[in-house]
Parts: sequence; structure tokens; C-alpha cells
Amino acid sequence: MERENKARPHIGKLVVYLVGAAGALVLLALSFTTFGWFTNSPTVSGSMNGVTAVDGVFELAAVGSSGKYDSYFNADDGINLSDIAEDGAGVIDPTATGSGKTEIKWMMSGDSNFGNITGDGIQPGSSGKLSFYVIAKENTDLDLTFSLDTILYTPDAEPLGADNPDNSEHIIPDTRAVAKLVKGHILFFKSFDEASGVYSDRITDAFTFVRDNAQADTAYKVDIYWVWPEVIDQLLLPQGDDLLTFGGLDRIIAADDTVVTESGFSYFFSEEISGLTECLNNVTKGSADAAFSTDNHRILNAKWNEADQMIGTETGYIELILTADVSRSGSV
Amino acid sequence: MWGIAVKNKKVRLKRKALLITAISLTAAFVLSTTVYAWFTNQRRLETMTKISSPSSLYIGAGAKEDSANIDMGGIDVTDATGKKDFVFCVYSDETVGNYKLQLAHTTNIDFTYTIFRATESDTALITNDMILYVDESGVSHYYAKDGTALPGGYLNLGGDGKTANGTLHDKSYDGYDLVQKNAEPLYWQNRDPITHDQSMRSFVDYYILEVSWNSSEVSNNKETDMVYLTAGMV
Repeated sequence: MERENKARPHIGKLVVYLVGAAGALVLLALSFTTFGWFTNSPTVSGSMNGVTAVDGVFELAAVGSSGKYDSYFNADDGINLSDIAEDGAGVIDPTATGSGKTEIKWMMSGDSNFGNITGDGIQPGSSGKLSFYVIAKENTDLDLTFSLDTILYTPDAEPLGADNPDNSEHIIPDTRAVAKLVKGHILFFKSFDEASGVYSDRITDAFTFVRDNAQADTAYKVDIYWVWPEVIDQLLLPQGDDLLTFGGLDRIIAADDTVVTESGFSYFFSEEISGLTECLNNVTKGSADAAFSTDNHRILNAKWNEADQMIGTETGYIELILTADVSRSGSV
Repeated sequence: MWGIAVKNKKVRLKRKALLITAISLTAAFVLSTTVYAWFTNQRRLETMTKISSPSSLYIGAGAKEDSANIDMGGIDVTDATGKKDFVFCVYSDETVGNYKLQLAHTTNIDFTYTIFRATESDTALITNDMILYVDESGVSHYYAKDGTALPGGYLNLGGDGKTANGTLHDKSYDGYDLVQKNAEPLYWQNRDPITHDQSMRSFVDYYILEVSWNSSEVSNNKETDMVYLTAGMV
């Protein structure tokens, strides 16, 4: 009985030690995570007492009027920031992330039109530019990684509301053939040469934004371009080729960004083209080449057009999501 | 003694249970807060737009019927008028900016092909020079040539003014050279794109293909030609 009575205080001590140890671990974990959470800067210094709740070292902002199809998806409208200097020059009045808002709708303007200002949607031959701003929240070197994702919806998707709380049931899985075709037909680029009409620096999944010595509360403009080529000749044939000239067309994709057989991207309906690589190599040389095969040219055009038809028939809406993460930043 | 051993074992079990619970709770907390922090560090822009079907351009017969109803068989070259007219249309149920008409044909028979814009006439205003098209339901439609011939020209007309030169031979036959000269197709294209206002959601443009001949140069001898009509957006 005596031994049993002595054991009880021993257990109590153990419980206290264990709870204390767990509490210490929790505090330690909390301090580390809140550092990242509140400051978003791996190089910030100071004691735990000095940590304050601020937004990240950057925010994203867009300007312009709302898009026609904003009511189809669940993005935050964001907040308005005023008197933000644009790259040291003018002043913009953007709708921006920040103060707890991490996700905003991409406001549209006349020259950054994903096609939805007119309400006509996009189709082969459509193109446009999407502009947004990276706002530095402190004097720092910014090195951001943007991932570009698309979500496809069937034509049955409808504006959200009481009768339609979400469109998730209308999302087309990435594994579907039509989803891969969209990635191969609606192409995104970092650069566009207005003089030549040629797009370059293709964005397949991510791109970086680097700005050394970024100044606090300054907005840095970023443009990305998209194009849905009307015919595959615009990707393959050499500029000035008779077949392009005959149709009043130009090559619009830089040679380094020409169509390639990448996984996750499809360019041709059914992809059952015998000897696809040889076929592409043959047509790419142009119609003036002695080995050029009109059969190859016809097959590629037909399969590209059939793919466009499939995209237009099976998809109803495309949602573009640009997600920014800090890849590196440092205080100046 | 046996009783004390049992109690000690229970104590060890409790210690283990407490230790496991504390570690699990800590790990769960660390994991959840880290993931939450990761998500809240991200910033995101989203936009959405509609995907439209590619605009389709169709060639049809009169009354916007299927092109299978354009029947050019049975031209009787003893017809004193020296010509025969065929109604066809170009239409779309979507917005189409500009398009061009193209005609390709072989040259076995010495026919002249001319394309005119046309308008469908009110039945109360029918005249003898209008072209009759009877639709699949047996209803008669009358079309009148609208002005002069559509401006355009052959892309590969030879020096004789009748057959094709070799400039587009490879486009037709690749490297195959054993082609009879009248089997070399002539390619004709109208000069100026036919334009439609982008606000037009649909349209039907009627045309008349006039096939004419000089009766002294042709005869009903079962000779055949292939004739292709195409319309392409430009």
C-alpha cells in the first residue's frame, strides 16, 4: 500500500514534465511558423517579441473593370490601394491582394483582354495580353515564381449564386484529352514583338519575376501574352513561306518556342499521326524544301483543326490562375 | 508484490500513452500551421472567359440547303443559251470576318466558269433571267445575278489561256509527273475578301456559278471535269 501511494506523485510529475515539453515544442513551432506566416521573408531579423502582423513582402494587383465571367468563379475581389507609384512613374489605383486577401479576380482592361470584355469568348485566331502589378511592400530584392494553371469547365457551368453554389461538378479533369489539347492550343508567352508579330519565351507552367532593389509601395508591371493560333502553319512554316502568304498569314511563334511533343500538351486530335516527329520535321522545313510533303502538311492541318473543333465543342469556359510564391527575397 | 508489479506496468503504459499523445499533438500542430503558413504566403490572380467554337464556314446549295444538292451533272451544250447557271451559297451561323471564294477545275471541256453574287428574289418579282432552285420540299426559289462577275483570277493559267501551267503542279500532285495536261487543275481565287461586319452573328451569301461555252468548240461527248468550290476565312 505504501509503494502504491508513493507512485501517484511520481505520475503527476511525469504528466507535468510531458505537458511542459509539449508546450515548449508548440511554442517553438508557433514561433517559426508565424515568422514565415507574418513576414514572408526568410531574411527578416529580430526577436520573437518584435514580430508584427504584416502582409508579405509583395502583393499582386490588377487594374481595370471587372470581367464578364467573374461570377463563374470564387476569387476574392480584393481591396483598393491608392497612391501606389507605378515603377517610380505614374500612379495606379489597383485592386490588390493584402490584409488577409490572398486571392483576387484579375481585373480586365481594354488592352489586357482575355476575350471576355466583348463577351464573345475566345476562339482560334484570338490573342491578348494580361497585365498585372507586383507591389513591393518593403525595400527588397524580389525573386518570385509564378505558376500558371488553367481550369476548364464544360459549357454547363453557370454563374455562382444561391441556385448554383459552385461549378466544381463541371470541371474537366486534366487527364482528359481535351484538357491536354487546350494546353497545346492556347499558348502563353512572356514576350511579344509588336513589330514582327512574333511571340517568344513560352510559359508552359511557371515563370520568374526578378527585381533587384525593389522599392516599398512601388508597383512593377508584368505583361503576359496569350494566343490561340488559327492554323498550325503559324507555328511551323518559315516566315514568308508561300503557304502562309497564300492565306494572308504570318508565322507568329518564335523558332525556339515552336510546337514540340511535350508530355501534358497535345496539339493534334487523337494524336494518332503515324511518324509524328518525322511529319513535323518535314513540314517545318517549309514548302520550298524539296522533301516537303503536302500529305504531311494536310494531315497536320486537319488534325490541328479537328482539335480546335473538339476544344470548342467540349469546353465552355477557361479559368486562368496565376499563383505567386517567393523564391528568394532579401532586405536592401 | 504481484500487485505492485501490475501497478508499475500500468504507470509505464500511462507514460507511454501521454508521451505519444503529446508528440502526436505537437506534430499535427506543426504540420497544420506550416501548411497554413505556406498557403497564406501565396498570392493569386484569377480570371475566366468563355471558349467559343471555331467559326465554321459552309458551302451550301440554294435555300441554304446541303451542298449535295448542287448538281452540275447533265449540262447540255446544245442549249442555245450557251450557258447554265448553278446557285450556291456561303453561310455561317457564327461571326466570320472575311472570306475568299476559290474555284478549282480540270480543263477537259472547254467551259468558262464565272461567279456572280446573287440575291434571292421575291416571288412577286420573278423575271425570265432569274435562276430557279427547287428545294427539297419542292418550294421554288428564284435568284438574280447581282451586278458584274466577282473580280478574281486564275493563279496558274497557262499561255494558251485555257489550261494550267506547271507553277502549282507540285501542290496538286507532289512529285508525280505523269499527268495529262487537262488533268492539271486550274486554281481561281476572288480578288477582294468578302467582308462581313463582326457584329453579324450569322449570314448567307448567295452566288451563281455560270458555266458557259462556245457551241462550236464543245460537244456532248460524255467528257467530264472535276469542279471544286471552296470558301476560306482570311
